[in-house]
Amino acid sequence: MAEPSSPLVFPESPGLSDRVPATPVSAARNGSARRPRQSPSAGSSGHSTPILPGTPGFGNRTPNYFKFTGGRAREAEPQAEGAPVEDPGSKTYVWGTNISIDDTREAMHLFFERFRESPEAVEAKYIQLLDQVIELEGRSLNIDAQNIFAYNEELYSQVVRYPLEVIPLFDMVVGDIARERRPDWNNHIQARIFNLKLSTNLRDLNPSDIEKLVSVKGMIIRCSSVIPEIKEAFFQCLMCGHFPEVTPVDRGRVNEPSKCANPACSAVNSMTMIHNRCTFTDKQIVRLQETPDAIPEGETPHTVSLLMHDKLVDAAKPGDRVEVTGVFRAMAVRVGPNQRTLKSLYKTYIDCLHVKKADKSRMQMHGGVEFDNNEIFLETDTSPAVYEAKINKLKELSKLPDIYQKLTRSLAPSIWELEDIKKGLLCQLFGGSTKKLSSGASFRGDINVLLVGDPGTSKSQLLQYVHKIAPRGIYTSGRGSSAVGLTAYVTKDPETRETVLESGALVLSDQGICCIDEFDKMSENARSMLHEVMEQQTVSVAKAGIIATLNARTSVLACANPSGSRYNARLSVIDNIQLPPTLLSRFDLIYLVLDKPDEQTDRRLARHLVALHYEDPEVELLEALDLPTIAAYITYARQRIHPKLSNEAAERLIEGYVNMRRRGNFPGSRKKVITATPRQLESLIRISEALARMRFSETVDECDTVEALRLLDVALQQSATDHSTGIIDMDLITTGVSASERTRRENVVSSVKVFIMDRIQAGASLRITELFEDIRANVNQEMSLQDLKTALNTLMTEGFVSVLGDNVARS
Amino acid sequence: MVAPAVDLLRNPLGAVRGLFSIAAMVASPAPAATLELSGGDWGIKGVFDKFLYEEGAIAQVPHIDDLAHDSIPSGSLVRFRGMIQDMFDVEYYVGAYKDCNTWQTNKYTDSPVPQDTEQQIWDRRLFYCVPIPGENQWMKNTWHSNAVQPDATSQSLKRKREDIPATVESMDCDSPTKEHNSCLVKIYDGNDADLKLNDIAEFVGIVWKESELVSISASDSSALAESLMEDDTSLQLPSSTVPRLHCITMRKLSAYSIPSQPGALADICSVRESLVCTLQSVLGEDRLAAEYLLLHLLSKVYSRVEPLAVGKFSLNFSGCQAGADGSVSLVASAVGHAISVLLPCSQVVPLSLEDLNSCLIAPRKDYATNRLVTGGLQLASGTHLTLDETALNTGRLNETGVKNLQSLKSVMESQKVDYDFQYYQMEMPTDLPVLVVSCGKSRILPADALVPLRCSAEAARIHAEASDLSKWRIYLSSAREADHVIEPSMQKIVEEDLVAARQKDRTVGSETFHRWLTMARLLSLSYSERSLTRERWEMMKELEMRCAARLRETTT
Repeated sequence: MAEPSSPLVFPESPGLSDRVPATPVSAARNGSARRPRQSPSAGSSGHSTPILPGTPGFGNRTPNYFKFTGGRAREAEPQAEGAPVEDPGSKTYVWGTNISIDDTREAMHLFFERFRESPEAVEAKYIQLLDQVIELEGRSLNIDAQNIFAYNEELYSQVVRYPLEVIPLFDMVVGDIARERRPDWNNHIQARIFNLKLSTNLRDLNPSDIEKLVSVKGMIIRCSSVIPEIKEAFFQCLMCGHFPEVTPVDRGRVNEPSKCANPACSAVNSMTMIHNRCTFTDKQIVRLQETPDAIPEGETPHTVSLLMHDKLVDAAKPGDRVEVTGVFRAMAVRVGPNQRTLKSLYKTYIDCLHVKKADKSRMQMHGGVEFDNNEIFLETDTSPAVYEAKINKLKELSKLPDIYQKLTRSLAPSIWELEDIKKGLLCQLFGGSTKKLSSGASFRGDINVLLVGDPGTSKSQLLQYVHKIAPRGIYTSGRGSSAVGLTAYVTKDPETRETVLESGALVLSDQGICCIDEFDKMSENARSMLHEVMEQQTVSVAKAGIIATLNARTSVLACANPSGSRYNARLSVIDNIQLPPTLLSRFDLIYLVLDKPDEQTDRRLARHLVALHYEDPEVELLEALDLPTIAAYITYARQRIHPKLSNEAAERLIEGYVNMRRRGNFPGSRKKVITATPRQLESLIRISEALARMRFSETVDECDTVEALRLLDVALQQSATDHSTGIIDMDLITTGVSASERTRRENVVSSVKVFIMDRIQAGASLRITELFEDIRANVNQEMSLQDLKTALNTLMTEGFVSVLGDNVARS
Repeated sequence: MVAPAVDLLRNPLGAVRGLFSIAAMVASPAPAATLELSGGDWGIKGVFDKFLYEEGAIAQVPHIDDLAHDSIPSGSLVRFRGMIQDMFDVEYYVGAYKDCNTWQTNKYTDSPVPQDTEQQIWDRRLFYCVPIPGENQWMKNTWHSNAVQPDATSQSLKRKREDIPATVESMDCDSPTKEHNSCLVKIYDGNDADLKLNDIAEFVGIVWKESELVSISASDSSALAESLMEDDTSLQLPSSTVPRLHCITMRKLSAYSIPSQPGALADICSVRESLVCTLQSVLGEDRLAAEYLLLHLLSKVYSRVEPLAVGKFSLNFSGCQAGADGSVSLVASAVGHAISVLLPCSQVVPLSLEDLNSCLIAPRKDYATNRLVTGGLQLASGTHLTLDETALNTGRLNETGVKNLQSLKSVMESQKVDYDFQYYQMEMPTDLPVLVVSCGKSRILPADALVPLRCSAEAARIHAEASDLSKWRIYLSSAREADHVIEPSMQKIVEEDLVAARQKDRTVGSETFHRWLTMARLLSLSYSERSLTRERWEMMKELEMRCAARLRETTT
């Protein structure tokens, strides 16, 4: 508040309509007689009525307001009414300031005519835009406040400090220029100013902001229905049918002519309003609430009312995050309708000039088109300076040589150790890039991770953490999820009887991570729904008249307990988790979180916990990045970084993959074990991409592939180890039976076949138990009763034997 | 600053206006003075703080709910103690106006101002405060009678009141509509800085009521005004039922602090022993359970390492019989009653299927009224919850029920409640010690420690002398507030012990370690020791061993 004589006093806060002078044109049209300024009920005092709600705000300025008497002329000042508008020779000032109207208009003219975004530009930016508006018969021109600032700082500060006076000037100047460009143009063009240098926190709005231009961010929580507001009333005489010119609304009131103006009729109280010949504008009251990230801990969000007009009506829906620019206004509350005492309270609201949806498009469109002629602007971050600073901070982080380790450390710092698993989860959070071929086929970029492990190894905590940090995450528990709950379900709306498609967890976590706890406890039916999601990334619904395919581009992070609640190291992963191999093979990384007895790790765990309980945990976590930073880092990387495989990296990948496959071939062994499948190659590519993203690198380098190979190796070594041979066996994952197990079974079958050929005559039969004893005694091979039964089943399908109850017969 | 010679108690507004006029006079020569006035409080808070707390006049200030609202005239000094249930939007008001060329202030009032004057608009914060949920009768009595020394009659009166069975409250659904005894506090000059949702505070200020019966309307009946007024939360709360308190000064309180503490306790050990003995009789002569219960009552969250809340110690008593036909089980009611006379705030909640299914216990925002609808879990930190799982029958849990159980689980696991803001959830940290009473081990509500009860006698209601009770209360509250450290040498021993335990038994994991460390800390605190000693560590292990042995017995 620099101006000493500008008091913070708003007895009437005159809106624009108050100072509408009887312009030569309108005076001729309306006739001064028909401008009774006040309805009788408002008192005869004729002035100093507070600005009432219903005063047309900025949103619906009309051409009538063009002419400007100069400043905050109070109506009490007699010359304000009908005074010559632009008195040649004498300067008019904005009331209470030394801002000259003429100078300001001049500055605006110069701004419009001269401002170019780059010196090379041929034509001035806003002249160009104005031409577009004229061509499209538009009604508004968006003006970037940053441009005004760059061109003329003084003008910028005038707009921000005295918007009520200066913005109508903008309208006028725009109108003048429009008429210069196209003389027959007589529409009103509103100047919508946006992108202020400073965006105010909703919480920090205070009385000194009243009648200033402010910009606030928030989330829309409630929209009123559209309120039609009458702008011009049309009256007709019931007696003679005479109709005068339309009556403009004066301060929220329509003055009904009490007498027919037709001299021949002159009937009293005969005028009636013809609704469908009146003009209306739309108006809407919207409530804006602070976004969750702006709320200090332990407080509830603040809200503010917004007043929207015309095109801004319904521009945003509840739930949208927006940034609005407008004038912060206060309105007095009266004790009684006609009393002169005011209650000491004021209601505040923001008269909106411009609404910008701050959505996910924010990041992507940054640096793209600076201006489009949409009524509502959907781009550029408000304060690029703040945004740039944020981005630069992230970029600096990404240049740290140990960023990978730092990120790993910062992920779930309360969970201790499990380094490689955290690295895998990081890869999942960053994700690979989705590839779309011209043929229409697409390859998913999402990385799916499965954690299998002993109870009490903080798997759930990891899940919770990932859920919190993921750009979009849904957390469900397998036990509580049904197939429809995960995918999508169809319901009947009880009122309208319409069928409605409701999204389930997987669809809701599109572009995010779906965390499923207790995966093993999930019903078979629900789990089978995941097949489609995890490879095709869609959910298809076909029921109750709705056939739809919904996108579910989600990464799945699942965790499961081994079937016997503790991991049995002697059994394979498949046997331990009891999940169908088809599903299992869709996980890129399968980690076993095992509780290995190791004194060293125990000691570290003990120290960690004691420290947690007795020391200031802050000190310990200093090294790590805080949660919002990681989240911002990940979001930025996912949106902006799309790494491509470099040639060396591709070479290295191929080499690594071939090596993995070769590992199955032992010199001098006929046994063929498949160690890697094409699915693993895809996983490798995805993981390398994710690793490159962590460094904000646009290319996947060799170091990424080396680490990816190592990660996959670590994950596979734990999960795909054939425990009878100790080597990695992808068959375990794909079929559930390892190669060595298969050869053993084949051996059993052949020896049983030979044995039966020896012992049982064709047509004769033998009890299975007897046969088992016999084989055990005579054949030099380890065999269990179960093995024998499996072998007999195989032989039965060959038609060699038949099994009836406990008896085996040779056919 | 010269204290004006006005009766601060009876005419606080006079004092306010006096101080303002002095300030206005001093500032008046400068034209920009009007702005300076809005910032400061002209020394009002200082004058009142001195008068109330240093000169002890606080005791003479009437409680707003002690008197019928009608008997307090508008503009008198009152106090109100409550929990902040909701925070409304900032209110803009005419702070000062020029009347015949002198500035008059309208601060600390809601009185109307004349039109056509030069005015200044200032702002103030609005807090909707409710009586502290779950506050026990004795606590209320202590607050309300702390001016008068408790004499024999009031003692006996108190005793009588305490014998009233512990109020059993179901998760309350109707509370948002109950505006009974609540208060709308208006706070000035950013004095709210350290106040948060669910905080407890005592506000001293000027009560204000609408003098005349006027329907407040915006100055015009246009649509804009109406829609703006529609969202005005304070309009939904008529001042006849919800008084307005213009806060001049306030004190933040904690849910477990007891007002007057006459000196430190002499013999901590004997106080502890007598308390454990009493708890033992309450729990049917189960000494082990009584020890655990004592530790549980002392627990509080002292630090948070996401997603852990370090220091919480929720307890599960298994082996309790369900009460006859749906009533609270005997153990739950006995323990609940004991806790209600020992701790300032507590609640017993029977987890019945109907209650779980009927209404949400996590607070949620109602955008139609723009208010936070409270739920059973909107409690001040330190409020004790006893959940009676024996009341749970088999049956179908609907969506509400599932959400409720998840909320309870989240309180027990991480001491957080998710407030539902429709478009997003807001996590509110809380600190509610939870005791679960169940038949078998509670699988729905995971507690930190499980103790199977071995009752050799019937669970009995607490019977104690008032002097004992007050000793125990002070003991509990001071032990809860105390700090605790560990010496490096002891740290080594603890680490060694943990490693050894894990080498011996692989099922001992980080959960067990957390429990042990928490218990060791609480045990030391219960003996009023500020650092962990070997003795207490061994004692904790002894307790855990006996408890583990019981668990083995129960399962075999």
